Amino acid sequence: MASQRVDTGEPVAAAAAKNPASAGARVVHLPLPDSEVALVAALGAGRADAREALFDRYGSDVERVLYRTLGPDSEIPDLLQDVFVVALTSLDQLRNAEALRSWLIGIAIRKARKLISKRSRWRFVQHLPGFSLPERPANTASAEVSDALRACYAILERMPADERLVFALRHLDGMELTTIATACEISLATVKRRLARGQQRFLALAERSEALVDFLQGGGFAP
Amino acid sequence: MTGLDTLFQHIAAEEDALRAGASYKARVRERLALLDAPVPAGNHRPRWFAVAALVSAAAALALFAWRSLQPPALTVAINGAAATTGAWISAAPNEVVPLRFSDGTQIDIDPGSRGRIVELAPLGAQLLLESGRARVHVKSRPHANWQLSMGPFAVHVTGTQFEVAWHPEQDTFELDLHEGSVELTGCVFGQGQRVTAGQSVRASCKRGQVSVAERAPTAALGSAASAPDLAVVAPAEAAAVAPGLASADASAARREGHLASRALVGMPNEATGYAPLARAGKYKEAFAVADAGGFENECARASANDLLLLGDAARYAHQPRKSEYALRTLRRRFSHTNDSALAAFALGRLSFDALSAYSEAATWFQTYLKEQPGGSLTREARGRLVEALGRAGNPTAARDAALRYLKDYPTGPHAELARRLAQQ
Repeated sequence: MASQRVDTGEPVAAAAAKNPASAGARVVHLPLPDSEVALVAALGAGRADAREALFDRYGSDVERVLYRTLGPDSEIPDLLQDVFVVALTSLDQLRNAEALRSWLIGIAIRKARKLISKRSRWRFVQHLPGFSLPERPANTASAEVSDALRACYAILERMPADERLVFALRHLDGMELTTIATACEISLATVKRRLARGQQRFLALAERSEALVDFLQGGGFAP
Repeated sequence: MTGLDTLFQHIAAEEDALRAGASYKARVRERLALLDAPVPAGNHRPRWFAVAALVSAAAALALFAWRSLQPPALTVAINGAAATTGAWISAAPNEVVPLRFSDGTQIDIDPGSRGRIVELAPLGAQLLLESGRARVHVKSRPHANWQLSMGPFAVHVTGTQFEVAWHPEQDTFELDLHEGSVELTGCVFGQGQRVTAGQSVRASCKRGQVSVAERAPTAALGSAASAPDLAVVAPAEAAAVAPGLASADASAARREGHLASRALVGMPNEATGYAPLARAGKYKEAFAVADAGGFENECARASANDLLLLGDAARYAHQPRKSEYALRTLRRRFSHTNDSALAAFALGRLSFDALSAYSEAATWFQTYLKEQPGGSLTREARGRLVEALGRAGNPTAARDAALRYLKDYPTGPHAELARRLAQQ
């Protein structure tokens, strides 16, 4: 007679207790030194594992900045790769190896800015073959929040590239103003000016959006 | 914190969830590792500069001489306009992009698909299909050499007609070969697997799965001496076949005169995707990953065991309808199996616990008992059946089920409930 189990509500898949995943073979690389200076030196020497290490250490940061500045966008995988290809082929322009992370983020911001500007220029021909705006998927939020997210992205897409970048980095990524200034290669005063204009524009457009009304109840932007 | 701050936090969380489920990072990392080692311009080594310049000049001269002896590379036109190496192709949602090559080869990129012309050579070309589907008709010529790359997979072609699709988010490779033969490489295909006319291939690198179905009854098996055949599985029973075992399974199946079926063994899963998360008990995260890739799509190509995982993940993520969908898909695709019976039990529990559909729950528990008499969940199914019939307002059936339960399991976990119902 088959052994019996008590139904504890456990997962059926686990209860079936089948097909345990076996461990696969893996290649183990000796780790590179942790310091950015050592990593840059290894990159300069053309070590393939240094390129992987570069992506492992900073890929997530670069990807996050691309997401924050562009939103979920079908171009992000290509841009992410482009950022690292540009970095690897222009490593000589990195003056301070310890600033590797912010240098990469600066490249990402320039890439994002270029794409936003290009799309703004060609917005009037969106209907032409080959051009399609990316979907804006919403996976985790409620329907109301999803609507608000889409409305928010729609507003961001109507903002000028420079304002949008500063606005997104400040409000979506929580980046300090001085960090934004460094990453965007502009002065702190310019950051403040663009941010103020961006906030003003965002509020003006948000007030016309039904999906965002509830989110405007608590006031505008925190000082 | 203002309402807008809250909204921005939602956006950041949403984006982070999407990032967590993204599958492209491994590909980007892989491509970066494969890049030719870049030589930064500032890596100045003046002593070598003159030597390097001389070597470069000599190489350029040799290249020029070699090229002058070679036939010209193919040319390609897109909608009548010449395209060059590196051209990026992005088909609009309602448009097919036709690539017409100078040797007569035709490749149609389906609506919504994206790709790139990587290389044009005298005897062929290399194309990258980033995502979507392409219909390919390669003109047969001596020594023709075409290659289509998709994620970890590549199709090597000499002259043939086929359709190929790559869905990176779902990690799904599809190939329907109409004419001739092709060789597949990469991941589950290893160094080379020959596919012949009439065969359809579906593969996933992450799940280590590949299935091959014969579409035409007269189609011959691949017979290239240099490449082993893939297992041939009937469309209705197309199932994952273990790489490495594929050839042996196929041979055995042919010897025995039946189809290789349910060879559900695969390469170890990568540490990405919903399955490892679900196995680790991270059901909500697993469901989010599966849902981000299209839950129904995941169900369509999941193995039976993975469908049970998807059912569990959705149930714990409070998505009973999605859980039901996964379990019903399992029963449809893998009918008459132990997993199918387990799905019936799970559907009964889901109907009872999450959907409060007690009659339906009773039917599912009865189905399990019918399909798995003496199965490991028999006592639980019979107890749950008693409970479901009682809740469904069917006292006669509930009493009968309760009496039968008490006879076999007088001290079972449902004995007290059964006694109460038996006395009514």
